[in-house]
Amino acid sequence: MEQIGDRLIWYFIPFTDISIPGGVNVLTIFNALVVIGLLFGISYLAVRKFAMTPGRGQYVVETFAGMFDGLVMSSLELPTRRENRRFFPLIASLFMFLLLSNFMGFFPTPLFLPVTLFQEPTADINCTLSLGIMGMVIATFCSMRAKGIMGYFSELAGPMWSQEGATGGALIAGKLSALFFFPLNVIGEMAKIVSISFRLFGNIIGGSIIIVVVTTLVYNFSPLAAGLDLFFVFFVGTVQAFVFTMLTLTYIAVGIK
Amino acid sequence: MEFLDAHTWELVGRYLGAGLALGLGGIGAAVGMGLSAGKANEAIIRQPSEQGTLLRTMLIGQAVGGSPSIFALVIGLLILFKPAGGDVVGATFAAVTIGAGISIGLGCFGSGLGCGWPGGAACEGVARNPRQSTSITSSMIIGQAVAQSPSIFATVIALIFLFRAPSVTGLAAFGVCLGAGIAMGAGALGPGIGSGTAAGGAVHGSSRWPQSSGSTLRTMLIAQAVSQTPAIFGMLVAFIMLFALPDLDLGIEGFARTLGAGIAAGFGGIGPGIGSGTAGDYACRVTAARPRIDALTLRTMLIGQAVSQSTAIYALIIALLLLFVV
Repeated sequence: MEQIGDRLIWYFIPFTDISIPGGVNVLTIFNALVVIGLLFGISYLAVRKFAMTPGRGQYVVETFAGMFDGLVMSSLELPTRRENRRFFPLIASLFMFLLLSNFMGFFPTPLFLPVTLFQEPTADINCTLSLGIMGMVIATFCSMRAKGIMGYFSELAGPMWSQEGATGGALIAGKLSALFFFPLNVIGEMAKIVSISFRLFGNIIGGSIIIVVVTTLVYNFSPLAAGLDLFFVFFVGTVQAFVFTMLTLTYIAVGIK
Repeated sequence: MEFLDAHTWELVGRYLGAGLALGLGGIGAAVGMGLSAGKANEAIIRQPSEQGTLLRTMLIGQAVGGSPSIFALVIGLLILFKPAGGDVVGATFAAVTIGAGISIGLGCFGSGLGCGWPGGAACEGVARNPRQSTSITSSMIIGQAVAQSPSIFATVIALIFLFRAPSVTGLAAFGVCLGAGIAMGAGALGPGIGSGTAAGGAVHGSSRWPQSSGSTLRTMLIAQAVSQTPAIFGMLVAFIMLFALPDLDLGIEGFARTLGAGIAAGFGGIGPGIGSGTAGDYACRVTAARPRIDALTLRTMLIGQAVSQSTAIYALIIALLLLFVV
């Protein structure tokens, strides 16, 4: 149990003496690549041959795509399907990536290997933080495009910034109130990134720590470990992947309204 | 630290830690179970013919809602029987066990209490709509399971306390352990109650308007996840104190600094957790009644929750300033 909180970090590119500033968590990169490879494989198998009467695999993929299509459509309240095509690929691939990433801890490591091979990329704060920053940058960009750059910043400057028909003292007081509201709103936007990324990270790493500790306490009695996996990996992983995706989607929706 | 010998310190830690874990951790679950039982009684009066189904729903709700207190029991037993050894002896042992006790005790208080609302709402719903009892029960279980994640965070922090030696010693170890325990435990208290209230609203809504239960479930999950933000801030502060604290004064100054940061992050999260849970409760009911405007409801709820959580953000800023700047 001493491995809790430890990370396999490379500070040099292997077989060279080129240093990596700050180091890089190898397992996160490796598992993220495995997830991307799996997703490519699944997508290839899914679109290889389309039939009018769908087989089992095509049915599952079409149901999934249709469900997310409707979800994006209704959450963003977009007028046309063409608009929807801009957001649907992002949201659906974010969900698929997170879902498979959260399930990675379930795969066992072959016994002859000295280190753990499979762990959730989402159990690394750098992965979830970069996904969170990505979501907020996209939401901010969409918001700026929908409202204009001045519109975006005047929304950050608080409700009293742009008043209709205010003159004299009321106008100056309204503009001065931005000194108070602007920092608060900027901090609020930053806190969105912290909360969305730490929510996913905390749930996934919490589940993996509980699985490690409890299986050690019961001397690796495997049926109990499988039961724990069922809840902490599959239930919590699915719920948190969905919540992360929906929150990104809703931040975009709040931004463009 | 020198006025008690190592063995006495270890006993002090065991007794206080286990007492805090079970004493605080049992309150919430018991109140929550009582809430479900009261609603079940009311429901049986309204629908005496569905007595068996109602009794079963009540028992399932109480069993799932009781699991936070089971977490507390497990941690309490670990505290009582964990052997002292390695770096963790004497006063440090007392610090980690008391910290683990506070974290799990306060953390399970909230989730246990919160799980009472969906349990009660499920009994009410089954009495109103007995044919939907299976789907009502399953949405109750999902709501309760997600409402327990603050107590799972608290369990994780308690396990880290028990299985990993703290990086500091002396009086500062007490500060780090008590501070991280309060940050996590009190930080999980409000969110546990709040996400339970949101689940209660969702179970109520989906029992009255079963045809819109899909959108209600979605709103519930998001409402619960957002109302758990203060618990995440508490966990963040606890993680920083346990793993990433820059060189800390080992005497009374480091003690006060870490304890103050923990109190700010922990107690600052109680109100926002409960408040944004209430917002989620109403949003779930509205979504169930009017599934057509669920996107609008969701946006309004998120903005309201974000504003009600600004105090948790201020508390987090104070905690980070205490740890890194002042």
